[in-house]
Amino acid sequence: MTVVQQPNRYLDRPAPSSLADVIDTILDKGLVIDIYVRVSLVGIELLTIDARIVIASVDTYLRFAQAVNRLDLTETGDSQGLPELVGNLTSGGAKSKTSGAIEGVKEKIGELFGEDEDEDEEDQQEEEERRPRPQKKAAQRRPQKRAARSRSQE
Amino acid sequence: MLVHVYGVIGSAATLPDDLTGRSGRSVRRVQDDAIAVLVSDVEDDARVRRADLLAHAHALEAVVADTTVIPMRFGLLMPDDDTVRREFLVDRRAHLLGLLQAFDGCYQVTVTATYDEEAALREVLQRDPGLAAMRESIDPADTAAQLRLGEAVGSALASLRESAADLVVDWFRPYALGTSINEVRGAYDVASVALLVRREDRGRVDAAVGDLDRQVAGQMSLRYVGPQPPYAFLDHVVTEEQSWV
Repeated sequence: MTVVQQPNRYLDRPAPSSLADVIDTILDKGLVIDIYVRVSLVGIELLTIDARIVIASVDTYLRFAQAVNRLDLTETGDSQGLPELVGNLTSGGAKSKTSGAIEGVKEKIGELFGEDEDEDEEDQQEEEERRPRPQKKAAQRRPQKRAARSRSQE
Repeated sequence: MLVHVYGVIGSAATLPDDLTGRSGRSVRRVQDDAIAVLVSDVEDDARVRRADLLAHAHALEAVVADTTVIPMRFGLLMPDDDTVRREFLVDRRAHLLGLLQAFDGCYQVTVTATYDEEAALREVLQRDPGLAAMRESIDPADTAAQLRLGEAVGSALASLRESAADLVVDWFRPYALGTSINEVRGAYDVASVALLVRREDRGRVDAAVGDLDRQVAGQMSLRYVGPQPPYAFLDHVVTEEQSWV
C-alpha cells in the first residue's frame, strides 16, 4: 500500500471496537444457530435501554433552552458552516442508494452491564441482574416533526 | 469442554500468530478442505464477562484485517468439535461457502459522527434567524416560553442532524460497496454508518475518513472503528430460506 499518511491530529486509521461499540452495534449481529445460543446467555441480560437522551421531553427542551441562552453569539465562530461543507461535497457520485436496512433493530439495544466501566465485573453483573428493565421506546422523531409543522403554521 | 464459536473463514487462510479469544485461550480451527470454523475452548460453567465480549470482537477484528470472515453472533457455544463439524461443515456448508464468496475481499468499518454541542447550537441559530430572535425576546424566568424555545431548538437540531447525516453517508459512497445506518440516540449524535469496503481500498478509505475529519473539525468529532467483520451486511445476503433458526 503506497498511501502515505501525514502524521497529524486527525483520524487516519481505524481503532478496534470498544465495549460500547460491541454492545451498541455488534452484539445483535452475526450469524446464529439459536439452539446453541441459549447456553451462553446465563448471566447476560439483554435490556431495552432508554435512549441516552429522550429528545422529545420537557427536561431536554429546558436543557436546550438553557444551552442556547448561555451561548455568546458575539464570539465569531471560525468553523465552516454546514452549507459550505455541503458545497464541497458535490463531487462524490451517489451511485447506490443507501442500503441501511436495519429497520427497528436498534430499538432493541442490548445492554449487558450498564454504562459503568468499572473493573469489578462480577459485582457489576450481579447488580445488573437485579435491576428492573427500563422499557422506554424511542419514538423520538415524530413528536419533533409535529412540533416543526405546528411552528411553521403559526 | 464447550467450544465458543467466533466465525468462519476459508480454510486456505492463515491466522495471525498467537490469536487468543475468551479467557486468553488460543483460537483454533475446526476445518475441512474449504471452510475453517474459529473456536476456542470454554469452561462449562464460564460466566460471560465484558472481557469476553471484547475478546470475541477483537479476535474477529484481528482475523478480518487479512482475510474474509463471516462472524457468528456472540454467545454461540457448542458441546464439542464434532458438533461444530456437523453443524457448520456438513449441514451449512453450501450456505457458508456462499457467504465467504459474497464477502470475499471485504470488511466493514464504522464511522460515527457527533456534533459539538456549541457548534450545533450556533449552527441552528444561524440557519434560523427566527430562533435567534426568539432567544433574545423571551423571559428567562418564563418556563413555558423557555420550553417553547427548547422545543424549537430541538426540532432545528433534528433537521440539522438529518442533513449532516446525509452528508456523512454521501461522503463515503464512492468508497463503499454498501452502507448501513445505525440508529443514533444522543441529541448531538449525527450518524453512525457501517461501510462495506474492499481490503484493497483500505488506504483510500482511511484517507477519506481523515479528510472528512479535517472538513468537520470544530463542528463534529468522528470515531473510526475497524476493520470489522461484515456484521451489518449479513442480513442482506441471508435470505429467508437460508435462515438458520
